[in-house]
Amino acid sequence: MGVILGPNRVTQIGKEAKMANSEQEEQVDIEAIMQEIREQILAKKSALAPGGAPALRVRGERFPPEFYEHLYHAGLAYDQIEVKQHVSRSSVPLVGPLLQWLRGKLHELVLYYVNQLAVQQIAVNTHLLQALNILSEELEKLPEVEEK
Amino acid sequence: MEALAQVKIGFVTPWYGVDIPGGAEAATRRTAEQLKQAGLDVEVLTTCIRDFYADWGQNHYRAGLETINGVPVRRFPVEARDRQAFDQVNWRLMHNLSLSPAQVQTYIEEMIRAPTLYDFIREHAQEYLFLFIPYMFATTYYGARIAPGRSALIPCLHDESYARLDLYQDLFHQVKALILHADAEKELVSDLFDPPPGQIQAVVGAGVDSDFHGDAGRFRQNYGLLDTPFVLYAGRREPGKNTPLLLRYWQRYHQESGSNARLVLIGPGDIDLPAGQHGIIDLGFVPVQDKYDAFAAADLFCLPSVHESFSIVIMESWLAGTPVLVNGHCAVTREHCQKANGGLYFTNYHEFAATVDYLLARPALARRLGAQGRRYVLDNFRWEIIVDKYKQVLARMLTP
Repeated sequence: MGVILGPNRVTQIGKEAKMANSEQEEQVDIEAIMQEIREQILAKKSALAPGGAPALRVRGERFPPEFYEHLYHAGLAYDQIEVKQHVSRSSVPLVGPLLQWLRGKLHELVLYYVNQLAVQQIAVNTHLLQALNILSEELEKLPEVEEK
Repeated sequence: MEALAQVKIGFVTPWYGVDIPGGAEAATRRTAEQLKQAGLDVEVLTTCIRDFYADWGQNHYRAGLETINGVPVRRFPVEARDRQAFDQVNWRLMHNLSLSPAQVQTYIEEMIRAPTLYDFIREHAQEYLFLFIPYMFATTYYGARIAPGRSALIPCLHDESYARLDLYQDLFHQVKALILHADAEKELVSDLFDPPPGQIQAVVGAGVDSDFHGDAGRFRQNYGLLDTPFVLYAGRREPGKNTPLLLRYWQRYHQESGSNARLVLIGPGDIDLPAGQHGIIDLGFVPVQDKYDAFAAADLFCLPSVHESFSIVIMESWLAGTPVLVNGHCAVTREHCQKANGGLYFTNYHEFAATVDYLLARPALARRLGAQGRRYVLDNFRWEIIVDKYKQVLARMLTP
């Protein structure tokens, strides 16, 4: 494993400077490690997702770090919208179990339609993330615009 | 700086003592002692309450003047209060429920009643510069309003329901100075209180004792962890410190990864250990030297808490050369990690598992992160640096 050196690395000026600043010169950048780890997490998620997941760029130079962080979290959450059934227990004497059964059936019916919507929403999220990723990659390739 | 020699510095805090629990409490005591040793005329103004966990209407200590580690401590008695009414309102705050104006009044009036402390501040205001710590207690709320032009607030602010009470708006606006522990805390102050221009706002940090030595081999020998990699947690075990989250994550990590690594827990507080242990070793309360040995022996120190305004324990871990893993939702500890390049952070289970794996698999890299953390602590939080910063803030407070 190579050590990840980041932007805090000190430029090597000469042997003396290297000796004097040996600790700083070999500064390990934790943000570079976090980006590597996050790429691995998304790749693992993509490999497990049926049909794959959007390949996202979670590091770059063009945008502030928050941009890539939001993209990463969107990559983790874009398909986490399925709704699970949660029916509270009825404390009504005698007819309580019947009420609870009816509630369960009602919830099942609602969830049937909600989860169909969720599948469509996941498809929209996937396309939006892919488009955002293409946009960020294209912008990354462009040279910095000089200030007028 | 000469004017500082003519004035007393009074730390005002709800409880004070050598062995009382709490990171902020220990930091207050050590700061008072260090400023006293640096030649300032430091006193502590406090109550007779034993500590945070005692009944705040009970006088445990005798009222009057005593000296603790060279620092004069003036204790003032507290009066009886309606504890039940306070607890009811406090329960709502702890569960993020809104309060009516009457409940807000109950909260502040039935918290701590120390009228003679406020009388003393009123009568001697011109002799002192007051340092109130932390923001939420009645000693600060009532005390700092008496002579705000001679008062600094050391808030130890977290993003929590208490901080969002309108009650504290005036407090943060009126005091002459805010002494803060991190840039993230300063940002939170700006977001919640929008302090007025001209107020002194200094990010000072906190002093850390750096002269301890931990013996990794001794700890591994004594606790039977000779060749076993382990992640350490040291501190109070309670929901407020997010230890249930750590236990949940570790249980899942242990099941899914098949790792032989252990999670070692040190500190007070009852916890519900998951059945079957799942590679968790609970050592409970250990002697302080064992704690330092544990810091030195650990492969990684984990602090899952999201409510930190500084965090002495991650500094102690770094001083021992051990990297840290913090909760990415805690702006303060994440800021320390990023500035120090001394550890990683997690915002969900997947990151927790991946960062633990990453560092346990790369012991040389982990040690380098620990060394970078150690350098950060020594460059920023040695006592001489902190004392100098306090002197500068206090001197500025004396200028009109």
